[in-house]
Amino acid sequence: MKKLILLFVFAGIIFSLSACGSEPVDLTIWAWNRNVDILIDAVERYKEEVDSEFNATVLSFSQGDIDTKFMAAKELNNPETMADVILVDSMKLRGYYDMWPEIFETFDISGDAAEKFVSSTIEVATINNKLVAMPYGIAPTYVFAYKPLWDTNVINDILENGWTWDEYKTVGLDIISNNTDKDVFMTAYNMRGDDRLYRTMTSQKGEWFMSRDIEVQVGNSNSLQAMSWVKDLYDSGVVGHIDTGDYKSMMINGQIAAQIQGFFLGGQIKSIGEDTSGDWILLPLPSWDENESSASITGGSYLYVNAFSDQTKGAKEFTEWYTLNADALVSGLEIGGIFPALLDAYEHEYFKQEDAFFGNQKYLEQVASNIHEAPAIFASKYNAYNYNQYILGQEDILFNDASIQDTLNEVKASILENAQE
Amino acid sequence: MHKNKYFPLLLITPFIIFFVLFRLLPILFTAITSVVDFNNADMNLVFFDNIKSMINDNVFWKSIINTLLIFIFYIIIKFLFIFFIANLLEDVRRKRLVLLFLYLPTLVGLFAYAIIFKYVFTYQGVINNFIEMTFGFRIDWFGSSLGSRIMISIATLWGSAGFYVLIYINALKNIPKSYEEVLILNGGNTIDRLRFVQIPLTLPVLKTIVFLSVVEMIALIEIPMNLTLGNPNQSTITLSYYVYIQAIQYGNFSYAAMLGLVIMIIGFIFYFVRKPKGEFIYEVN
Repeated sequence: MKKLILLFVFAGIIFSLSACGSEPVDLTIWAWNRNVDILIDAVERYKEEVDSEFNATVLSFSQGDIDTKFMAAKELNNPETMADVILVDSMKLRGYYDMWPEIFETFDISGDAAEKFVSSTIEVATINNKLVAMPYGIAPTYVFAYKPLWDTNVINDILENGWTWDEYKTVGLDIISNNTDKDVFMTAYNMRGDDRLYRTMTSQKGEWFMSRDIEVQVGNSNSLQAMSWVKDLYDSGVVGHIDTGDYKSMMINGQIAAQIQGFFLGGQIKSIGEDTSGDWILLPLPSWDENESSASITGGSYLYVNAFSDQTKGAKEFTEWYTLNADALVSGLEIGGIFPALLDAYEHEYFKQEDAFFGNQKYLEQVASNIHEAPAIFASKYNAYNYNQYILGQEDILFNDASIQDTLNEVKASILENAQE
Repeated sequence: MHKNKYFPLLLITPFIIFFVLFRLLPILFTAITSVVDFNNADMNLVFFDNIKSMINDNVFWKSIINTLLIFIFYIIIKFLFIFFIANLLEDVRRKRLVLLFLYLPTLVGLFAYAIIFKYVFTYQGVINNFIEMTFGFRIDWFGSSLGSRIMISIATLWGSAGFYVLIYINALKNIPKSYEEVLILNGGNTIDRLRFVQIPLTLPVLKTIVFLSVVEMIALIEIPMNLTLGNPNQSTITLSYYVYIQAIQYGNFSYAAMLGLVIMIIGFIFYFVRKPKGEFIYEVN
């Protein structure tokens, strides 16, 4: 009788364990904007190709909402309120990790697998020798040129030989003087906000506000040179200021010759400027020097797994599968215009297509051609503060003619003081 | 009728539960967070640090001045507007229709109309076109501290004007017609009507409008956040916006809670200044 009872107990334990093991994975994923549709597509593909029992709900929030949820959960030490898989911007990833490392499940991607990604993305997501999030999309920065304002020979020369920031100004002045009948700028932003110019220039040197080791980079020689260029471009009228920041309307009105912007802009002008199809061409960024690479990545998207989730294993498996799956990422590129961080994806046929909107240019291939050269830029937990200080400084330099060196030194001092508090 | 003396208590229980959970506890939690930094459950007493930081924080003082200046512009523009509209509507036949149009913006989301205002006030926008046609110059609304603060005041008023006009028109209804008739017989004009009849007899309502405007200003965040991002030169960072920046952008929850507490104290001060003789706060008819 005793044996029989033991047998039943044993069978019961085995049964419950097997039941636990076979319980289907049901995840919650948080994302914003276009990423939501992309991740829904990824979930469907995972169901079809890997696990038909798998289920995941992709919830759409604004990036600000996700920030708020993270901060509140951190403050209350309440990780259960966070989703299983969460999208995070490259500018926030390292800062979030600094604030709350425990919530980040680490990934065991190394060696060959790690080399499958654009190297800078792995650098950004590797903290204390651990990969804390999987790279998913990147924001390469390029020049979106409106051909009717250009001399074709200049375009061909740039495509063949590249150009420098000094040449960008010269070309810009020529274009403006050749098109005096309309208010034309080479590029235009809200110069009281994040204009991307300074960020793009310093990112080409692998710098922004702080290094990986939290050393302040604002005010160093590269920072000074970048801000001097920005000031010069603004003062000479090559770069325009738009208070609404709506450069896209100006672009499709043919008032911007060469907007410097992240890759995502291609999809956006396609959707709002159908009439201008064929008038656009993608040019490489100007470089600091003739012999230097102009490649720049000014942002990226990563997926991290909540280490306190009760489905960490399933969440990791899905995240790794998706971020290492070229077909799924290319599908994401088609759906939402997110440029993959996975190098294998660039071998896909989709990258070899000509694009009628860009005058039959193979523009995806063009972007992918030198992206591996882009250095990593790091954003610490102080990034939001640093960013606000830089905006104030630039506003002072451009609009109040403050001294560049003195202002950058003040920004540096303020950044240092905040970091030391 | 129920004679049980506890029955009324039972009826107000849902309110009490709601009040305790969603009003009292958050306030208590804010008060605790302002003196203790939890930092992932490690509690550190930071009360004096926060006070010290606040005293030395230029942006905090700037945000108080910004909020005050925006409030002053707001209240001036608001009273001019409601006096003008309320008197104008007196003679309009389809008053309800006009009021409906005035009230409609109240129903539009703040984020949505902040974006609309961005385009209306841009340097090349409709407002500047009108100003240039009339006065021959343009205003850099986004580039000047004064312009951007006035713009925020106007944007805030646009969203709530209908509500205040409605309150004021209802207050005017209670003024006996004979008062105005006497004024007309004595040759009084519109300004006299405002000065000697309408303002004195609607004073409690006007005071309530001022008080509600203070509350609006203390909580003002969405419009500067979407319209100006605190620019230019931090001149449109309001108190509540600064709390958001500290808590969500910088992750300084404890300091943000201390700022929140200060905002609450400012609110209380205004409440008691507004209500010196124990009169009921909402005398709106």
